Amino acid sequence: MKKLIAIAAVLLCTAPAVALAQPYGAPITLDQARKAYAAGEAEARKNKWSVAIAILDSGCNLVLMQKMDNTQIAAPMVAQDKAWAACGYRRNTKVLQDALAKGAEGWRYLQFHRMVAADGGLPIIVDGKIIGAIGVSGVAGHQDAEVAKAGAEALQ
Amino acid sequence: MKARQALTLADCEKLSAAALAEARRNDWNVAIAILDDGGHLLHFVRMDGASPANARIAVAKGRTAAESRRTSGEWQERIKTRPEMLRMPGILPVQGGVPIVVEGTCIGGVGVSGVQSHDDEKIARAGIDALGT
Repeated sequence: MKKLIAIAAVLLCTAPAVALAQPYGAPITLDQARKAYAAGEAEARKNKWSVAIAILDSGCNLVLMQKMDNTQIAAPMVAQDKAWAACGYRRNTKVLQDALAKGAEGWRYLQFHRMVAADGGLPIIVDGKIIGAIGVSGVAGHQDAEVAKAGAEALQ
Repeated sequence: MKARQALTLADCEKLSAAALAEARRNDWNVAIAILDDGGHLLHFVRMDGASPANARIAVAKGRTAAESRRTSGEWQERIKTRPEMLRMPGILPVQGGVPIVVEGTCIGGVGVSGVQSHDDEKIARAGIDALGT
């Protein structure tokens, strides 16, 4: 028990300061993932952006990934990494990017397991539970984030 | 300069839809991965009920086929007489990965995982057939 409290204390101290994250729920279905992807792709097309969009389930496992034409080769991997960080840390990856930007104390996040401190990864939350995460890569970070947001919100 | 064919998103969607239809027709739950000729993931779907391991295995089979330009089933056969081939980097010698060949050139690969490996291959081939190349 003492050990648990100690671990909890460490986690509380190391996690970027945000509201307590939502619990994990049932894994996203393929139909839900397709819906989120379609909304994300529509947002990208509207802006004439080429991106890769990855969607993971609540266990951080890949469910769907599609790369639009003329997107750089690395994008599918980066999109998966962003989604993994959003799912694994139950946070918008922008929070991690901001923590780094603050410097000094924030830099330690670079050493965290599979951490991606770049905008464009979001947990997908339905009925207060995390059912998966969406990661986007291909354009500028804040633009990737817009696509991710459109995708995540399609399931609301 | 040599021009090379490349899979578009539309091609991937067509291939994936046909493979998915073949799986559904048989009541199979699988993961389907499509990669380019450099082994980079282009498109991926995992049906409800297919496991996280299926996700990774589908990609590994597809990559084996895309990069080696042989089916992963051929590697499965090959290691029976040449077990040292198990140490080949980036090779998963289990049936279910098929190269996509257009006009004699390999432009990518498809990997399927979820059911018996000969059926995984059947699904991959159904997808490639839909491309009509």
